[in-house]
Amino acid sequence: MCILCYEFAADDHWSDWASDTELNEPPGRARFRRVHILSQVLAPCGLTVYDPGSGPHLVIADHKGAAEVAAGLPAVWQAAARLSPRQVDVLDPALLEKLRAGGQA
Amino acid sequence: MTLLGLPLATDCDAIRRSRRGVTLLSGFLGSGKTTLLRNELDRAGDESIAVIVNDFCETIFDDVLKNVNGEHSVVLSGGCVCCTRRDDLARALAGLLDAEQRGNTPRSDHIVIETSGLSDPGPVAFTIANDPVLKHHYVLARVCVTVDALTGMDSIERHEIALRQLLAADDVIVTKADLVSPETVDSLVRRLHEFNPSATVSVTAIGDLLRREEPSGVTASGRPDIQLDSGAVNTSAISTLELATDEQLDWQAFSVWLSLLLHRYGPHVLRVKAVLDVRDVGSVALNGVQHIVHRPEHLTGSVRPGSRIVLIVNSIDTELLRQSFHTFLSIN
Repeated sequence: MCILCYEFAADDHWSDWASDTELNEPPGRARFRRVHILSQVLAPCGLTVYDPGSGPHLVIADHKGAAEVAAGLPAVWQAAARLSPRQVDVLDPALLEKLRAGGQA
Repeated sequence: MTLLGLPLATDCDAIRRSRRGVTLLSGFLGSGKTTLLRNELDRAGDESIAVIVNDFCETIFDDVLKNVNGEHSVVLSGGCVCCTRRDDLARALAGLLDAEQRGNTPRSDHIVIETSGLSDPGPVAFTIANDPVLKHHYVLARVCVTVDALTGMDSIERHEIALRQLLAADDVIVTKADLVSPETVDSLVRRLHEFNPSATVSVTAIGDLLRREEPSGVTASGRPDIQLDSGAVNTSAISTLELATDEQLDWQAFSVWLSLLLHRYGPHVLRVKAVLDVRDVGSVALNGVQHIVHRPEHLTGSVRPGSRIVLIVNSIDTELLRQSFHTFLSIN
């Protein structure tokens, strides 16, 4: 647990292996890229992604104001499943079509 | 290195400061795991290799272990390590750490876990990779699976757990090759490569290595589904797919794609093995047993440019999977 924010430390997930330092990129670049991709993937389900800029957390929200804080990609998918009646499916042809079109919902 | 990837005595100084490697030795009932392990420990000749054995019959293994490495051995009784006694495995590994730190035993630089013939390797890998203490001290080095040259293919086609063991393997070791004709061995090796093209296949007889074949890979179009016999326990369709790209990989796009695939279809993804050419990082290896993915590792030395990912999946449309992979990687 973080003694400053009283949040439990996120699990060390394989997808977080490549940090900015590792990727040799400007600070925050990798994080911005992840949020950008997640936004496109979650948009067809009516969800938005916001990066509060602290810790590993992202905020997943729907258009009615419901929101969840998610630390790491597994938590993002779990939050999306709770917030949207539509399942995020990596093999959904409609999702793939929207991604090819540039993520326009 | 030996067949099981055990470090030789001379190799150990280099790895002494890093996490302890864990070799998971699996294989169906009677496929020669214990015989192989005894030979391999003799060959390695290193006292710092610890052994954890789990089987339904504890007494048999007591005798074996006295001859192998009694000081380090921990016997878990009462059933399968993976399914019912996973906590015991964690306790056994933690116990080894505790004994070392108390000075009761010398440090073990490598651990071999020999599972019961009916164990699924996936939960064992999960235990090592996710336990909050163990993951800082142990790393799953490889999954070795023994296949009996005489009865192995029959077991794989009839028993789902034997198939799961095979699909989880980094190294498949064919045992008892001296009991069948060379043609039968060749046919078995071809079938094993068809089931798990990402694994090396070693053919052994009486503990001696006869030959070793590197991973076969799969064709660019993916391989046709393997349909098991209708009378078998597992009638599902297992497919193998190789995804490849010559361009450097966008790690964020790839990790979003794979994590979503595992979140949505985790139980259907039996194996993930990849060599990735990550932009701004270089070559890394990614390894997953079923839906448990280990932290990627940098590769040194000469690696072919481009990324290759081998997926073994159950009841997933491989063409759609291929489209999905390339679509996610092309997100701007």
